[in-house]
Amino acid sequence: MTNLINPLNKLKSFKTKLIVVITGVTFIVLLLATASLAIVLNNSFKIYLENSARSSLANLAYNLAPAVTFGDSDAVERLLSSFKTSPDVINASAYALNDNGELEFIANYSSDARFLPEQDVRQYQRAVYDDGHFQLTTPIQVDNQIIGYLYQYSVFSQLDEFQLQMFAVFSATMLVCLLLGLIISLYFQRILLAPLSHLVDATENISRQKDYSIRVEQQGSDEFSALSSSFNIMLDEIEAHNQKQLAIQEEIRELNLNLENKVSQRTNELEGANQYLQNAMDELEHSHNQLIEQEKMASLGALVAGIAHEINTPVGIGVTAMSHLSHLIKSLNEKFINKKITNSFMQEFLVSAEKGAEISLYNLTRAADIISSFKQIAVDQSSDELRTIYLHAYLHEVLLSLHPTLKKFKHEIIINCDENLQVHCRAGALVQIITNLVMNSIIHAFENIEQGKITISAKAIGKNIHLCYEDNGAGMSKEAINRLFEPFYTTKRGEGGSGLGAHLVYNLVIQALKGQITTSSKLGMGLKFNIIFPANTATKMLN
Amino acid sequence: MMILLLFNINVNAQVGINQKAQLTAAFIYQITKFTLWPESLFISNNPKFTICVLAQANENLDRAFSELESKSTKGYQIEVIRLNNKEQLFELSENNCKVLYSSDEQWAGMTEQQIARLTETTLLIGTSKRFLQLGGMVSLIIVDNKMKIFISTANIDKTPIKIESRLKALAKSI
Repeated sequence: MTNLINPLNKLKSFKTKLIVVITGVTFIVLLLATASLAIVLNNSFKIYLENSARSSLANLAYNLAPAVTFGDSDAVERLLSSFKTSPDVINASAYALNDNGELEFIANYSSDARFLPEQDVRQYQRAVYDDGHFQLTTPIQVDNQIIGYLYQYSVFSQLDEFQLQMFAVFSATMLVCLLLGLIISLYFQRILLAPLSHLVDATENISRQKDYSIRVEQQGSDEFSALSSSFNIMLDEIEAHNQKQLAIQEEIRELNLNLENKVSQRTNELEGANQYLQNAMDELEHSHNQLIEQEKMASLGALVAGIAHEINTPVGIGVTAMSHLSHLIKSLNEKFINKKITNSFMQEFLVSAEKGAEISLYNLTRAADIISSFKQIAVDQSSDELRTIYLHAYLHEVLLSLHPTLKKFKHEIIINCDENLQVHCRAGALVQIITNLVMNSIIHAFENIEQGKITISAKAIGKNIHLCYEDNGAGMSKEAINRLFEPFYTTKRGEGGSGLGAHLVYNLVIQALKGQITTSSKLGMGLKFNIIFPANTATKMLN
Repeated sequence: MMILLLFNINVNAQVGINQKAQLTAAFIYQITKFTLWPESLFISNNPKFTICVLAQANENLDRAFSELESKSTKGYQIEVIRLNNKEQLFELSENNCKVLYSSDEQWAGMTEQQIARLTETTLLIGTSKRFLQLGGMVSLIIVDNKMKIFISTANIDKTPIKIESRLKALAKSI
């Protein structure tokens, strides 16, 4: 079925398909009918020929009976010669039945001397057709007793002629019927498909002109008319829908115009608000930078205060020692003027002067060392210069700068770091990171802890430095940890906390050290910072 | 089969005295099959088909005809009545002989009335053309050493007895 439909689909128009279908169906029906009729007629004609042959053979057998009975072969031959008038008969033979039931040849008629029946002709009592030939045997009876057999071998030339005539007639009939079918289908195709053509024209016009007011012309009251009617109803609905759609489009167009105005107005307003926000952001950033600078200054101030505090004692001792030495020198001078210098006095003076000088020298040297150390840290803190440091010693120096603050508490700070670990980095950033972390631990983590513990571990792994800062303080909640690096986030607002310490640490690690920082903590379980930043130089063992 | 015996002898052998008698009996027997008698002749107390032989005493002939008595034709058992003279023939009850085989000598003394009486019920078979000229219906004559059937269509047509046309076609009409 699919194979039949596919070629039909290749035909362009419905008209052609209709004609092809009608003609094809007519042809197939005619062919089937003709073939059936031909088979029936052929069989009937064959039966007629057989019956006719059987009848004439039986008639001859009847007439042959006396001749066979009286053994008159001449008479038999004479009677058989009557087949001369039947050109289809090639051979006719008469046989007598002897006492042994065997056939004995009497006489025959043959139009073709080459033909002789070789087999027992009794087998042809039922007619046998073979390649257009026909063999038939009929018994010769007298008084209901078979006395012999009459055999006939003939050609059904009449059947061939009949078949030829039948073929010619049927072919002509089929041709005429097909032509008639074609003419009728063409005629009815025009009548039947006229409404469909109107429908197609209407749809094409509607499609081309977009004019939904066009209607299909209705004719008659058949299915096509009903289709046209339904199509017109559909067009009514489409037209109404289209008008509604156009109205909606117009409304949408107007709304769009208004919307554009509104959008423009809102855009202007948003631009104003945006500008206001931008200004606010600029101010905020400015304030942020100011605060960071203030934080730095505060850190620097604390450093200066630390320096002042550290050098205060040795300098004070030095001043005291020098003051005592000055007093001794003044006493020596008076005794020298009064010429009252004794050996014991001189010996005592020299001892005291030497000791005073030693004390002064020691303390001044210590003050100089402190200043030297603090000087580098102060320089680092105020500059972004890259330099190479020994991390262990540098961490000690940073902690030393914090000593004025740290000495107020009993907290323990442990540094685990290879003394020979060299790092090429922005050292000032490292100072500020450690300072802020230590100060955060003191202020926040150890708020209610008298003796806390801070562990700073550093080691080189590959080309990076892994710095771990850990305290055993109060720790932080998950929410607080998530917001730890946010600017201005503090749990000590109004109590001196700026909320910029951890934010500053985060920025310094990311921007200055080009590293990464992660935190982990639980409430009551301390706080841990893992900082990874490039070492830039490999660890060198100092020899 | 008598027919085939007849056939064989007829076709392949010279006709001798003994054979002639046998052929004659066989021919007569077969001729009965192609001859139609009025149905009324068979409505009698005699349930047999009687063949009367009117000829001088002849052993071969008697033997040949006696063999027919074992056969039947037209559905009746054959009965052969041997007659030595025509008086014996007419002494027989009416309608008794369906076939009368007569020698020329015996037939020569028949009067027209007698012949006319016989033709009403009996198929008259002789052995010469003269027999036919003298009112006989069928003659079995040896021609070229073969027994041939001759019939007198005129004589037959006068009687209610009919010979089938297929036999007429085979026989020679005089």
